Amino acid sequence: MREPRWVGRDVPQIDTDDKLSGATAYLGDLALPRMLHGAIVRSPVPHGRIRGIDLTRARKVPGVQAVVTAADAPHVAFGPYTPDWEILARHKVRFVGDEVAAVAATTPEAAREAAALVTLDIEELPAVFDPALALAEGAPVIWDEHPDNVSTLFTIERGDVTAAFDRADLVFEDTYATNRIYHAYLEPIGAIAAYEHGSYLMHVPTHIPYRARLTYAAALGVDVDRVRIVVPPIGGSFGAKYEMNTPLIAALLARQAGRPVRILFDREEDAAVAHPRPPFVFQHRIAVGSDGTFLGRQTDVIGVAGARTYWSPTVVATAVHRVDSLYRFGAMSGRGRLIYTNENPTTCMRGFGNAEALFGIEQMIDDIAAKLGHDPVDIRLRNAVREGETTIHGWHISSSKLPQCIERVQRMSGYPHRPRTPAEATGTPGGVARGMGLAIGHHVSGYRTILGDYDGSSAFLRLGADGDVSLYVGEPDIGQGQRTVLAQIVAEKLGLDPGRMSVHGVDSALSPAAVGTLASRATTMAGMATLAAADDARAKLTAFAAAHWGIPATDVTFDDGVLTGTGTTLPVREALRLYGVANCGLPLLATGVHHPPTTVPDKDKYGNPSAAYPFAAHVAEVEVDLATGQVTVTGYWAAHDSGTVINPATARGQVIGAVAQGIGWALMEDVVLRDGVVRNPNFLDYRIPGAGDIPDVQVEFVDGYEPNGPYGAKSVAEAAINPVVAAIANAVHNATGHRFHELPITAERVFWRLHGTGPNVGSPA
Amino acid sequence: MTPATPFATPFATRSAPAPTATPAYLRPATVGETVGLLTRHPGAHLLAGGSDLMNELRLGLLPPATVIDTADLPELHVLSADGDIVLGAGITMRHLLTAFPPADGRLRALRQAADLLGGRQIQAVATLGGNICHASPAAETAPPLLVHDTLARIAGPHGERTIPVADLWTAPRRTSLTSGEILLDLRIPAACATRPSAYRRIELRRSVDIAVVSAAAALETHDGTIHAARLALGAAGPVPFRVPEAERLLTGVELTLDADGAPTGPLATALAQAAQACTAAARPISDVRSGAEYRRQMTAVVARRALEAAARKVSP
Repeated sequence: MREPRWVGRDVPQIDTDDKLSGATAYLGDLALPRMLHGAIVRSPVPHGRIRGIDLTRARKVPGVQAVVTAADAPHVAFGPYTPDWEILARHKVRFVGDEVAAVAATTPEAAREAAALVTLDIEELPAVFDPALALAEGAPVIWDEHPDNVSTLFTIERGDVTAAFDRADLVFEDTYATNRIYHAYLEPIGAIAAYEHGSYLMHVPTHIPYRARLTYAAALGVDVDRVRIVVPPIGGSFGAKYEMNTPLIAALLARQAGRPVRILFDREEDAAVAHPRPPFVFQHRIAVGSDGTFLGRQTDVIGVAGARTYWSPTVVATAVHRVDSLYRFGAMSGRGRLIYTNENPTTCMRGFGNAEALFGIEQMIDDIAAKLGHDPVDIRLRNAVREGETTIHGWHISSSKLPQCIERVQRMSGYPHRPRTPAEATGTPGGVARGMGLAIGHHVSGYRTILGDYDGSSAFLRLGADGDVSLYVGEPDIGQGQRTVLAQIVAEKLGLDPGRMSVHGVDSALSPAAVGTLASRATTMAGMATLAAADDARAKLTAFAAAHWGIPATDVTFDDGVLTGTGTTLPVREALRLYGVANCGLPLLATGVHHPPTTVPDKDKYGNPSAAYPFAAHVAEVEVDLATGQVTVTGYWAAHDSGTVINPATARGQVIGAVAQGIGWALMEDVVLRDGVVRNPNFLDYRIPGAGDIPDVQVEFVDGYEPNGPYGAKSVAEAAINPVVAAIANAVHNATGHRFHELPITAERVFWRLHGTGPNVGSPA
Repeated sequence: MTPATPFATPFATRSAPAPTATPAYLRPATVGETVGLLTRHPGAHLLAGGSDLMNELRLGLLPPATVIDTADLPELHVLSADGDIVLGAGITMRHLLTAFPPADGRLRALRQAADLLGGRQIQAVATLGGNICHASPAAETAPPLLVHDTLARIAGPHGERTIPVADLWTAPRRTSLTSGEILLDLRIPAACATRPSAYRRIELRRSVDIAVVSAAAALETHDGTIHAARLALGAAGPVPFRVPEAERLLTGVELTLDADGAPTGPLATALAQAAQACTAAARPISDVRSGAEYRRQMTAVVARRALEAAARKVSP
């Protein structure tokens, strides 16, 4: 086979220049003619009955063009998983920040001023902020339809768990808790909505525009074709920007005002009401034979939904059973419950419950190895799911180079002991402890049940007579470099320069419908559809050239952008020109459809939901300042199996970004709520790591080939964060001898573990 | 339900009725004019770098009011380093860092604090006067100014007065400046500026952050013995403060450092005692950043680290 020209190369991202120069027009840069600015009136109390809303003063503010409440919204119960959403609160408010009314005015200042003048008469009700208390008898009921405060229950069972635990030589039990994490994207949440002739136009930075469109059409009580979603460039998401109330509130305002309305949060509003990663408490039990073989596993997971249900139900399901495609645990049973509280709703974030589960499991596996006197690497390899295997839940692992990843990361890092130079041995006054920790992880490349109807992807290419090449897919780029990767795939097939191609932003009126950019699926799924579209273009160009020369298509070859017939050649751009001439300007339209070999899991949750599974092995090295408890990550090594890596520079960047995100999660990030109020809605007190907190992250990709991905590729995005918190926690244990069962591993928590229990650790008075 | 921090519910704090008149922006050219404006506009905000003020106005933490810009006041932009050091209240962190490079050796504690204050962009605008008149207990430059024996010169309706910088702070976010008064400059006696000194803080991340607790130390030594010590703590009580008991415990102690610069013998003993004195003197609070007891424990660590760093700078 010919050496690939574009695939596997560090092709510069095709939109970097625009981003660097500021030319990229994000939502905040967009303005429609006569556009108004919206502001949302939010509940100041965590739970209450709405007795009255006085809009009189708000309406009088100069510039105000619309004021809406629940009375202006259709009486429709809706929501992505549970119909517990209202565009604006109708009878009750259920969290501090719950949307009650909204105002649109000619300036953002007037809108904000008017919003402040809306007077709410709310009878405060008892509220509940702790999932355990929410489950207790007599707890305040947040939704009448859910008197037990359980939003979602997920159960699964495989094999004879009782027998497995009876047979076990040792049983390990532990409780691990993960915390609320703010996605901390650069671009705050926002939307523009317009209403004309019975149709809504929404500019929304969502990466699942077609599912969002279904939700929004249902909420607005209109047919789906009455909602058009245009996706502007997205300034980061990490799972936050799926579906929101904000575009719907903008739509109500736009409809009333008869003018377009933009709502754009500032950082404080965004951080105070954005929907963080759900906090979890895991109770894990693992049954082990004396030789280190896992025999069975039980898990009970409680997650917090907050006051309404976003995408956390599937996060809970993932937290309960995805780890069974990383390790053979034998028999298993699991239960996950998603609990309502009077707090801002939670939703998915990169890692999607899998990273949360691994935080505990990977620490327990180190404990199991230590107790049995086994090497922690050996015990992982002994129990790891292998390439070609079908797991207990029916997940088919079409490729896995996990053993190679583990071997590689040890070689890169020296785990378990990195040799040091004497210069590195000087300590901080008070002393430091050093340690290394290893953790492995995996993920999916798409998930069958997201859209329900189908799981694959489609694409079309528009090859213009003047040489302009545009690719249309339904999966928005979220800054991860997907545009470039798809352009490389087209370039490889057609011999074109990816830098001269455009990958069109998603517009429901133009682009193919799609599942969206989530579940680490874009490269694999949109990539395969793009490959099919490029193949179609090749076939059509070949047929055209054959007709042009009057020879059989079998006599035409197409290599490196040049069509060759008998003794004559035609560069692809010239072929496109001739095609346009022959067809009165019609561009060559090529389409591609990809059906992945996935199945909808059956009623027992058995079936293969993903086309490809990526794997990773990470090692973290930490220093713990024994006098302060401060943990510093001093080294980080990551080895990944993502199959063929289409753009190594971009993929490496994704891994480094994930490690940075994981360092923040492990050591400093925490959305602190008290009585339902976010106490740190700003980047001063919600700390994300800066350059000084991140070591030189070493990333390598092992050789691999995924049969279900384009050119053998599978995903990077989420597999890259999944081992991080566990690797750091294992390193901290290695350094200090203490297990940390709760995130984040703050200096204060470490200090009190090292120096005796302190007062009320981690929960500021 | 009252949020404990003013950041807690931005949408609630914004519920305050909007001002009826647009506040004025004034830009006086002289100190006398400024004092007059301050007297006529009680509640006016003095604008220097604006890195605190503008955020607090934007977030509704301060009421909208007349803003008096100090940019054109020459007295506030003086930096004189011959003999006694005079630092105008409008001097930025960037200017300080440029004027006192590490090789200079003077005002080392202040320089280290300026280097830790905010990020590079904030350092380019944040001023010394703004930092200390904002009167945060965690103000980066406060402990260094305390150990450098700084005097603050203040202009007001009744003329000028000069006070020890310690007397500037009365409570969190409160200064002793009275109506019509403005901080002009800070004076550090030449002899104090050259003392070996250091600033250390406990931070929750290695990038831009503010102190959990902080400490500055300065040592006056002669023939290998500490003649006088200064030790000040930040974020360890309602205002930044010196710890006289710790200073007393260090006075007369021989500077016994081993070859690696680690304290041994009498110095090690005295440092441990001084650190304990800090823990005893600290009256920190619990907030979203840290628990009070952790802060109290950390005063010992940070004080010790500042003192050791200062001791290592004593010329043998």
